[in-house]
Amino acid sequence: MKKSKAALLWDLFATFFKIGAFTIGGGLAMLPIIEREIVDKKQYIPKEEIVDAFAISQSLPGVIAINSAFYIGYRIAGVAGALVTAIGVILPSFITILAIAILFDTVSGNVYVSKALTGVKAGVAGVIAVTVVRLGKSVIKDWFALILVVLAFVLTTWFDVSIVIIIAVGALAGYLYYQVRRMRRHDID
Amino acid sequence: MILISLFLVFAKIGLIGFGGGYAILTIIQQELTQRGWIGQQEFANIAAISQITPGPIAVNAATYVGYRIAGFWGSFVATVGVSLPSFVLVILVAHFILKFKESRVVASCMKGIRPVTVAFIASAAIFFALESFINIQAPLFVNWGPFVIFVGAVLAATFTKINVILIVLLSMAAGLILC
Repeated sequence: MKKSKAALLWDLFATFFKIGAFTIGGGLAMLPIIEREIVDKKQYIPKEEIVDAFAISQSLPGVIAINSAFYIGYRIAGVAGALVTAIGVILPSFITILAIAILFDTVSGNVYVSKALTGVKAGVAGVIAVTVVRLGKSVIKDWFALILVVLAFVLTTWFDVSIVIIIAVGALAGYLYYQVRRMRRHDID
Repeated sequence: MILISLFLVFAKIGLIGFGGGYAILTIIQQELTQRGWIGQQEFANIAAISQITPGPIAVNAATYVGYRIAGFWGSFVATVGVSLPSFVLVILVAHFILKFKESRVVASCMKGIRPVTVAFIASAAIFFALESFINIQAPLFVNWGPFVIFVGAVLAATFTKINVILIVLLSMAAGLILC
């Protein structure tokens, strides 16, 4: 028995709305939940394909959770599918943040709100620092990567160089470095 | 028109936003503070709030900043703007998936972009540190309350299996007592 297209789209929307509503802590926290809902529970797409979806979502620019939603929605139900999954995953945070933005002025002067937020900022600084170390271990495998990390860090943090330029230079450097290395390897062979 | 420039700025952020939420925070911060759209401290507040509310950090930031600058429609165009470039890119790639995955050009560019995004994430850590425990007037003297929370979070995230969200919530509770 095949579901009607409208029923499928509604189901995709509802599934991604749930994913958006119940994952706190950003896109990466969503990926295992997307996998559980889409692959294990609903069996919309096979496991191999979700691995592709996540790999591609992380290599493209943009919000990882939204990229994954677009990709999975598109694979299951075309452009309409991509739109409903993305709207589904965005809507809960849109509503929550809108409510906070409207209310924030009335509570921002409150001393307890400010103490709690200072605590969050300090904790988040710690969590991100640990993320940097973990990512650094997997990304910095040679001098090339180390130089890029240090250079990009100094330029963004202290010199306010435009991020567009830094990303473009990183991409170009990666392209040239690995092309040259490949050519050298061919010479030795 | 403020709505058009909001849309364009967030579309730009969506287009250059490599490396996920924390890296994108650094990009958003640069774009917004350079334009004077939002102050450092308020941006730090919304970035902190994004950590304890549902949804992707970058979307939360877009929605909040859009609202502060131009009300409901501001939050609407900023959120659509930050998502739209992905829509086009993801559908293109999903359509030509095999070629993208096997492309040597894409793979070697990514090897240069990935280290850069690690640097952006490190920059986001510095930003939160400056906004919580580092005292800019006297950099040698930290604010002890938040500094203790920072160290606690680093230890918890390194040596225990406590969920990151729980660490952030515990930091919030500790903030009420220590900050």
